[in-house]
Amino acid sequence: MVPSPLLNAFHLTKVYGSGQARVSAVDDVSMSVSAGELVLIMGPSGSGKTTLLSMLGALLTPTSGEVEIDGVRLGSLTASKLPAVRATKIGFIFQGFNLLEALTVEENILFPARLARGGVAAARGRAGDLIDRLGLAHRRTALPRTLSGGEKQRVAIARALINQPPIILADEPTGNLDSESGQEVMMVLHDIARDEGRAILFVSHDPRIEDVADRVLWLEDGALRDRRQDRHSWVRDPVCGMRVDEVTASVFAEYEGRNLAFCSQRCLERFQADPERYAAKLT
Amino acid sequence: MFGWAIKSLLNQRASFAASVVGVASAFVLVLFFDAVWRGESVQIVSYIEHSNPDIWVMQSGVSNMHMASSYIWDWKADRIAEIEGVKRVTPILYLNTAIELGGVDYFGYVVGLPEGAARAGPWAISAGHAMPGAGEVVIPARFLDIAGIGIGDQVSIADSQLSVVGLSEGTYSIANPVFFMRYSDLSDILSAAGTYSYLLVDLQPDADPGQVVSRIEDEVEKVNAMTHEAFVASDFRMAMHMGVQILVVMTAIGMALAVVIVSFTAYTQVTRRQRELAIAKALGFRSRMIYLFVVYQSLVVTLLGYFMAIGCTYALVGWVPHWVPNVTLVMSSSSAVQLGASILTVAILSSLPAALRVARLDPVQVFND
Repeated sequence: MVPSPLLNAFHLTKVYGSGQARVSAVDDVSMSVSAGELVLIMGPSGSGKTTLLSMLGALLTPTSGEVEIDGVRLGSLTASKLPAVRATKIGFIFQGFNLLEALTVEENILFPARLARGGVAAARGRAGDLIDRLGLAHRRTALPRTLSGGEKQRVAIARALINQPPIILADEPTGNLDSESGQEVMMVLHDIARDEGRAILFVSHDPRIEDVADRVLWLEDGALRDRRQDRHSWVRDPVCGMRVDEVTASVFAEYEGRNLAFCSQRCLERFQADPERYAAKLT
Repeated sequence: MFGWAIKSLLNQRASFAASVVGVASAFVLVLFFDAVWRGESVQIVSYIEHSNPDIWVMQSGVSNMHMASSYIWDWKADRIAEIEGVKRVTPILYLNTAIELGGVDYFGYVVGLPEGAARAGPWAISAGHAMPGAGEVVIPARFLDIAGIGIGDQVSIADSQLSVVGLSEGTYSIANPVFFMRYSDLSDILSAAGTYSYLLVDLQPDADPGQVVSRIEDEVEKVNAMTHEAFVASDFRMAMHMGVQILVVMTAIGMALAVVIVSFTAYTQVTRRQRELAIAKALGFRSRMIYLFVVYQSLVVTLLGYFMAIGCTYALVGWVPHWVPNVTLVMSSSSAVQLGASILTVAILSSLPAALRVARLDPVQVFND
């Protein structure tokens, strides 16, 4: 039996401006993500990925079209009902981690729990399980500024899962992570989709995610299009050695007349800190 | 939300401390000025309180001593002395005027005491004697520090030169230091022979002050009689009333400063935490819950500032008189409580600009790395 979609988008369109200044950030996008499925949305910078994710996450109202989350049509809800949908139906994971600096790991994870039934008290046991499962037990009382990038993203994942939402929306979840941490985060998310039957939708430039995604959607100029293989141009990140698609990559730097693509901002920063060290690999 | 609000404040300790100190400074301004005025008002009624008769009698239409004039014919004192329940009447002549000490004019009370007056004279003497004779005056001992005037020096009251024979304690205030001279000398200065200003009435042990007040007003025309407590309260009210407008202005300035400082703190917190507040919004927190975050922070800053101000003012009230001996400070718990009651208003008002910013926060910004 094919599981019914947890997330549906019907002819979603978002238009900014009017007249000559009218821009369609998202143009007539329809898609769905089912329970246990990992779907990756890729596309060049400015293609409308974040706008689409914002609409799917009940953060932005579409100009036209409809979003349905776990059987609830967002268009039928007033604006005051949308926060409750975000709190209980959707878990967010961001490229910048977006942890609350003043709160410890455990407090960050429990932060959205006060919006769910039972509150923080009911979620405390679940938080403990997530902390153990994501290998954060030794960092339970640590503040975010003392965590590594991988640890921060694991805390963000635990926070996204604390209210047991059926849908996880992730915006460049590996964008600020090195190769090893990125791989680790991807495997965690993969397990969550498979083991817990959650629908996971990624927006990313990271080609590593393609390996774990069930489907890859290509967004260009605000519309979903067929992804043309000839649009790929694979190169190696000079820092971590990872495969990077020059067409979809968003992190670039020019060095001695060459345009270099990086898998993440972190790799770019490492390159800029000591370009000669990595230049040797550019043969 | 409260825990997050507190932890966020503590996460930026320097900014938090600066805000609390700023708010405390504004509140100290309010409390300290109130203490100055209240202290001065207490000193203004100090003479009346220490004279402590059962009843005060004065000219009809007069109900206080500070900045007042009162004249009663001397025969009315004799009439009152015969009223049932009255044990003794001590008359005084009284003048508000400038007194020259060491070439400087000081405004003060001059009390003319009849020879052998049982009360109405100085109640504590640090040097010399309490009862002035003809051509003599008793001055507040504080003038020894302020003007270097002591026993044997000359004082000028309305062109009359008087010799200092006593230094009294507890009779100094900025507005009305009390000078004591012989009734006959003051009567000559005022050309007021046969008149008194106030009559200090002592009662028989079993007499009821309220009933005697009524008898005096019934049996002696054109006088006003008041129990001691009522007269003290009336004079204190008058003294405080004279400073009410200044107090109101100073309180308003202090409160406005507190509102500005707390608003700035709340707004700065929201600006610094804009991304985190947007995260909270994205995660499903409603604007009003995030607004609570701002209000909690404002309340904490305001309350801590308030308690710090109470402590600082309490310390100042203890220390300042050692440095500036002619200032009397009295810290009032009622003023502190009134200020405390306004804290909630200050905190909520201060949160409004930040709340507007919270309402406009776009949660989509969480996607910007």
